[in-house]
Amino acid sequence: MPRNRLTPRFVLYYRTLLFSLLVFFVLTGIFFSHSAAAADNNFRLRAHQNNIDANTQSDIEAEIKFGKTISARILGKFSEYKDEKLKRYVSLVGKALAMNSSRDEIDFHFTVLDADFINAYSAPGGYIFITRGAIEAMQDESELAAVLAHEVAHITEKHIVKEFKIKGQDDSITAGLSNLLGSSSSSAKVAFTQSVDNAVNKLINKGFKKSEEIDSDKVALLLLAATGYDTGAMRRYLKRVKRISQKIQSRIKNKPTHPPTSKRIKSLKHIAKQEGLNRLKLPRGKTRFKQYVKFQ
Amino acid sequence: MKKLAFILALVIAAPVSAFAGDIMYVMSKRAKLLSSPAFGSKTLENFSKGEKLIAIEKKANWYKVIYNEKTGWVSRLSVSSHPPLKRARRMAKADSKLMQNSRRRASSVSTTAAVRGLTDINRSRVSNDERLDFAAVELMENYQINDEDVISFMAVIKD
Repeated sequence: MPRNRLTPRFVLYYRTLLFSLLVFFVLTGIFFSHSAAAADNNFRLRAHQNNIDANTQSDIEAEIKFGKTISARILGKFSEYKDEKLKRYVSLVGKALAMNSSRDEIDFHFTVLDADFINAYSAPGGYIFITRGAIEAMQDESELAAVLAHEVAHITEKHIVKEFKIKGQDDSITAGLSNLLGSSSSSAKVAFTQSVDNAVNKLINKGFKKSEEIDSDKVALLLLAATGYDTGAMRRYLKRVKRISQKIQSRIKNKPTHPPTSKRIKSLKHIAKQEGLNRLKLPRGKTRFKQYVKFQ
Repeated sequence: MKKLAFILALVIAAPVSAFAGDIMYVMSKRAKLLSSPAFGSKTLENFSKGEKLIAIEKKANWYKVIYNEKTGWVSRLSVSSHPPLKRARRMAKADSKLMQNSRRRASSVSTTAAVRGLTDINRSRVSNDERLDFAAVELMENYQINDEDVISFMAVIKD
């Protein structure tokens, strides 16, 4: 720049402009740092929450042992419905959901129970049961996926694991059931048996807490979408089960193990809207369902 | 010139320092990097279990992540801040027997304890209602399906 243009006034304007720009960008940086830090802290807090749920291999093994005993009780009470084609079909749908879930460290297993009432159960460690009655009330594969996804969600969200504090033997701070299983004392074995009793009672009679059911419905909807199934399936199925229960009371267990249907349907509608799931056009699998599901 | 360079450095440094990422790990067997925080949006990348991502933002049930110089969104179902674990080993038959026996021993202990008033277990529950069928559970566990079969199964879903 020619020296004769660098008047004192120009230099003053130039310096003032530079200073203003400096203040502007520093303040902008502080503002975004602060809000990003606040959001970041919040985000870190939410991410850290995952660490509270973090497992060790020992924790997983303890969970499987507990879930296996619960499953042995369920299969001691109800026999398996013998239909190889249906078993493979239910397992394929269930495994497809499991592949998109957050817990690949456990193997999910699916069994149809020979019972005409409408219900499904999930035990820690990946054991999932659905009654013949529940499948008879379905009209397409996405409804089967919806019910299985709900049960998968109880396991991925560790509802029973958290309630009964199931931890591996290497956790010296938290008294865990695995410690009891590993112990040779009679009182430890009694405590383990009581915990299994309480867990089975929860599954078959009492049911999960309302918050756990709503939580599972939410995760199930996301899981359905991630796997590629129509997300309206759960609402459709619940409405139909409600109609059936009003007609044939004997097909519904005397003590309901789920929150009132109308509340669940309302909650599902809200979650679907919030997540933008209503825009998705995903298949229901009607034809394939009819090919595989044929009851005498 | 030096002044200008210094100011330029400050200008660049301030907003860049505002964003720092967290490492997240892919937990699912199948997960996707999507172009926006919504199922059905364009798939930018397919992940394998264990892949590391840098999460820079969270929005509802989605994380905005950086992966292989691509920025996109991943469902919170698929990721976690702790690394994934190996597949758990199945319980050996010996362990099943141990649990079955521990149950029988526990039942007799609990009956005795109940008689002494040491526990509040309802004695009527120590009954046939507590039958255990570990053999049936083992059949359930032994029933295996290949991942390839599952993927092929989902590839042909219609209507």
